[in-house]
Amino acid sequence: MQVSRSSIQVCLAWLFLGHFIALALPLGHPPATFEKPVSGGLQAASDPTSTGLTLILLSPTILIEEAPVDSRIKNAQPVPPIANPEEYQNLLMKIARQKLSGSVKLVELDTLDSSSAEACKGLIPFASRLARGSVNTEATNSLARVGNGNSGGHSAVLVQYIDLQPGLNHTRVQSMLLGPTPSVASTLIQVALISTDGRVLWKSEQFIRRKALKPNDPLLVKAIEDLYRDFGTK
Amino acid sequence: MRKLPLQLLVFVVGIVFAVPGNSAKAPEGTSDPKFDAVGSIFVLPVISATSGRGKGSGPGQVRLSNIQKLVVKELQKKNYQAILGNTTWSGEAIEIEDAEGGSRQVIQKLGPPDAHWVMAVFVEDASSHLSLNPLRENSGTAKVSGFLFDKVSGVLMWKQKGLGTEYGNGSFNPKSDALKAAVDAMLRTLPTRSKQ
Repeated sequence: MQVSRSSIQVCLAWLFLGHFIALALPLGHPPATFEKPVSGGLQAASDPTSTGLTLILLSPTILIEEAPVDSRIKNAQPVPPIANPEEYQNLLMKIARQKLSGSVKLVELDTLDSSSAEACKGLIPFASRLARGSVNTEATNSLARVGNGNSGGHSAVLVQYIDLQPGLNHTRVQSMLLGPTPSVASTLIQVALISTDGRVLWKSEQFIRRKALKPNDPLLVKAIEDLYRDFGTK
Repeated sequence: MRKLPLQLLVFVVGIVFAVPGNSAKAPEGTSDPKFDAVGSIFVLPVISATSGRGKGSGPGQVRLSNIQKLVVKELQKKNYQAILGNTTWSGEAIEIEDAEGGSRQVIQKLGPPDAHWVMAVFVEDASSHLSLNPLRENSGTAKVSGFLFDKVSGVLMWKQKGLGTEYGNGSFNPKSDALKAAVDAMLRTLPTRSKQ
């Protein structure tokens, strides 16, 4: 069987074109996914709503990680900052107030006496570990001071934490030329309710893979609201 | 009309060759007198710090001891004498915040009493996406953090995060390959020790 030169060329062209289209189409990008919380829900012995809990809302901690640089692109530009951390803090506080005001007595930081306020500040450096329910000795000391504050003592603090990992800064053309690259972007949201004697009363977390969510993203609002889905139900 | 396929072929080949390959590397850590003085590095058991990142975000079937061995191998490539420590923690493992904080008390508890330099590595995330769709390939992403401590001075000498992705190489274990890429990216900024 004779195969003409032009037909080989046509076949090769279609082969390359097909490969190129497969790379260029965003077929390989799996959509952003919510991971089910590993251990969401009430974690500890008591139901916080049944104890007439007084709760201090600590200022949320926002960690915006450094964006990766794609070594395949010469002079790759760093990803611009995602957003102002204050916008995330405001959103977290707004939703926490909405979700908790019916079940517990909320105490705002600016209404605290100086001793308790100082002790609360001492908890901020431990926010990332406290929010996942890991209470260390230094944090226990600060929690005890919050409990012994001048205003009659407080029962618990709410620690909120967001870790944002931006992805690669590919332009549309670079994405088409380089082909689909799995995104390393992610959003981790953790919240824990810790009593002033150092017990973890409740904790919850949400992890969104492949997206560093912006404060105005409805997915972020939904994820934060979902944190409180089983607050006080178990 | 007959010339069109040939032109198309040339065009496509041109584009394929225009794309920079994966071999382009970020600048490597250059030598540094501070790091030239580093002797044997004791590599601690690798710690999984994937809390909250959902099911399947941990190293999974990838053994942490394999990552520890990989770190030792990569350090040796950079002319460091690396010692493989135990593969599991005898006591409670440190948390990533303890390593970040780098307090003298924490540092001095790490590794055997006679170790001078100690390296701790955390796996923060490792995921894979296996696909049966012929237009999609298996993919994986991983994130690791490494810390090098000087136990004698009680200081944190170096720290770095590393992100790794695996896609398009027909990998059957993308999580493991992404972790390797992440370790490679993490250690890239560690200055290469001058040969002595």
